Formats: sequence, C-alpha cells, structure tokens
Amino acid sequence: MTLPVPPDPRVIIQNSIVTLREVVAPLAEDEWARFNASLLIGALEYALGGLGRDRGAEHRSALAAKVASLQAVVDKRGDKDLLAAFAEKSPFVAASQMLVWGQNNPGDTAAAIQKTLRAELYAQLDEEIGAAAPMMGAFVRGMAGEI
Amino acid sequence: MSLKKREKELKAYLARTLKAKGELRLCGEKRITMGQSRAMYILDVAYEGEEGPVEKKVVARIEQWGHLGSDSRNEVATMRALHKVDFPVAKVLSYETTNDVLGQPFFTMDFVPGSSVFSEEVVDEYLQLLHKLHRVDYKTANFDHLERPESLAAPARRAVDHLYGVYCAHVVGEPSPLVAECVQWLRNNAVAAEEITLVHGDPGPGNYMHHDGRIAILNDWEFTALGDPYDDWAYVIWMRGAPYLPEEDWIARIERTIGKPLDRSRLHFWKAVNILKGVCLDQTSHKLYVDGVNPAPNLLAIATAVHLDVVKKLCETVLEG
Repeated sequence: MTLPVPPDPRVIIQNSIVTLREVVAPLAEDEWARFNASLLIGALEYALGGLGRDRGAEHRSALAAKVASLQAVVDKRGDKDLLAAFAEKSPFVAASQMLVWGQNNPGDTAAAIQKTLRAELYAQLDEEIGAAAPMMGAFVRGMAGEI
Repeated sequence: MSLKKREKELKAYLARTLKAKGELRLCGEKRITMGQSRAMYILDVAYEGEEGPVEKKVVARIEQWGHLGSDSRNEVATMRALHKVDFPVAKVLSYETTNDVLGQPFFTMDFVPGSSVFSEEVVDEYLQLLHKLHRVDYKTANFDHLERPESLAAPARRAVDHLYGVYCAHVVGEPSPLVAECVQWLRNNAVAAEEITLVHGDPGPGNYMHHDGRIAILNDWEFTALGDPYDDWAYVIWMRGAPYLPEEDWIARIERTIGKPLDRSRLHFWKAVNILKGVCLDQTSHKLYVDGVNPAPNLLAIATAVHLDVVKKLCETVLEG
C-alpha cells in the first residue's frame, strides 16, 4: 500500500496524545512512569500548538523593529556604549545591552528604552507562557501524582 | 534512566558499600518523583551482614549531567560535616565520583522514614533547625570544602554573578534581555550581609522529612554555601513555603525564631536573587534537553513552562516591584 498523501503531523500528534492518555497512562502503575506519561501528553500538546508558526522568528523581527525604533532617542543621547548596541546582529543581544545600559544610566533615555523594549518583551513572554500552558499543567499534575 | 540496565554493577557496588558477605539481592527500586536535579531511588536490599541477615532500604541520589548547575561534591562533604556535629541529616554511606557504576556520579545514604508532605505541626521546629544551621560553627575543618566569602558584601555579588554565569553558559538560541536587565539591577542593588553563616540554599517544605510530629532530617544540600542567612529565609517565605502559609505568617514565625525583626529591604533583595536562581538553574534543563543529553520530558517542562513563569516573577519583583 502506498501513501500518496501522508498523514498530517497534527493528526499523528493528536492521536498519540489520545493513546497516551487513554491507553498508556492508565496502565502505568509506577509513580515515575505516570509522571512521565503526564509530561509526554503535555509535551505533545505543546508541540502541537507550535506547528505551522515560527514564533521565534516572529519574536526576533518584532524586537528588531522595536530596537530600530529607538535609533533617534539613542542618537540624541550620543552615548558611545549605547550606540554600540545597534551594531549587534541579534536584536536580543542589542536589547540586552540597551536595558543594562538603562539600569546604569537612569534618566529620560533609559525610561524611553525601558518603555519600548519591555512592552514588546513582556508581550512575547506572555505569549510563550500561554503556549507552554499544557506543559505547565502536565508538570503540576504530575508532581501531584495525577494524570 | 532505569537502574535495571545497571543492576549487576549496582548490586556489586552496594555489596561492597554495605560489606555484604556474598551476593546482595536488590528486592525493589522506586524512583521518587520529587527532586528534579537528581534522580532519587529508594532501593530495597537484602544480604548477609557481619551479624546475620540484613534487609534494609538505602537511598541512591544520582547526578543528572549537571542539571540545575550542581554536583554532589559539596553536598556529600556538607552532609558528612553536619552529621559529625549531630545535625539531623541522613548518613552518607558512600560517594561514587566516577560514571563507572551508574553512568553518572552518585552517592548512597541511609533511608530515613518520614514524610515530606507539608504539616503545620512541624513548621516552627523546622525553622528552629534552620536557625540552628545558621549558628553552626563553619570555621572548623569540617567545612573547609566551602568557599569562604572575603567580605560581608561578597555573598550577594557572588550569588548573582554565579547564577548569571550558569545562565549564560546554558543559553539556547538567544539570551533574554529581561533577565540581563534584572541581573544588572541586582548587581547595582546588592546588599551586604550582617553576618556570614552556613546557608542551606534550597530550604523549606519538601526538603525536610518529619515523622510522628517531629522533624527527622533536612534534605537536599546541593546548594549549601557560606553566605547571608537572609538567602534561606527569603527562600522559605517566597519559594518553597509560598503555597502553604501566607508571607506575613512565615515572617512572623521566622522573627519569633531568630528573636528579632527581619530587615524587609534585605529580604526583598534575596527574594529577587532566589527567583533569579530559578531562572538561571532552570536554563540548564533547556540545554541538556535540546542537546539530547537527557531526553526526559521533565527537563522540557522546566526549560519552558517553569522557566518562563519564573522569568515573569523576576520581572515583577525587580522591575515592577
């Protein structure tokens, strides 16, 4: 038999979750095995939520735009260390340098950097926390000995 | 990891450790779910001892490729030192520093019956024991393995730098700018200790055993160091103790135990450092998982959901607090 149209990975993962939950987990008598079964269900749900989107790339480009939006503020300040952040290829490294600079140089420029970058980074953090919710649920349930 | 694959080596090792005459039987093994930095097994063993047949339980605590950034060297030395001064810790039976027996270093210790489930009945006794730990004379040779801070300012700075070093060494992909900013805040606001004491490093509910309404032993000594006792008090209040008693209740109990008010600003600083501890040590899970060193799904959970949750708490405490 051939498979001219291979099964959708989503279906494979979804069905694996059902099998783990309904067949494998109930048979796991050992505490550690039950814990792992619970976590595997959470891991597959987490993976399922990530299919079809590259959240990492989206976060990178969104942060790069926010870093670039601060160019005028940073130019106006004219601080050599702060300007160096724009030479970084990674927006995450650039943002790190700018926020660290802000902690060491409080004032209007620091406040503008913090307002812009933190808003974007908090939004990304909240999105990732939401995406990882199945993993957290599985971990908490597993630690409590539940599936 | 299952011990089944290494049963022959383990039985021979335990026979040597326990001075068994002839063969030792491994009658049961149970991995404990609690504790993510080490694989913990309760082993039922039977053998012919020097004074006749012996059936007992021993505990094997196995390293996990540096998970959570610690090894057993300090832990074993600290437990042995505390055992010598009659502090309630399990007796270490052996310490295997090679990977020859179980594929990772590990140590064995006496099994102590009891429960780690939270009970308000023993809370005050536990706090008294933690205070007693802070009063142990660390300037004896027993504790030579612990690095001595060069000044009262050193513990805070050293803790932040050490934790961020662990984080940076285990970053996968990109570093978090929010973590970098929080670390700089902590460096800029580091507090000097009033005194240097032994610090447990991971104290609170779950890391002690109680039996018949009394504390039997304190567990998990892998993060023990010489430092600021506020490190421990903050950990009890906001990390391990938070699900069980309100913050003000913990603070009142601790103040009764130590006989003086806690300095709230120092406490806040160490609260933030302890959240940073979670952020940074959890990062080790990420690298071990994606590198395929340890494919266990608990590492994925710690690397993602748990890690992100503590990053958010760190930002709330440091940047928005």
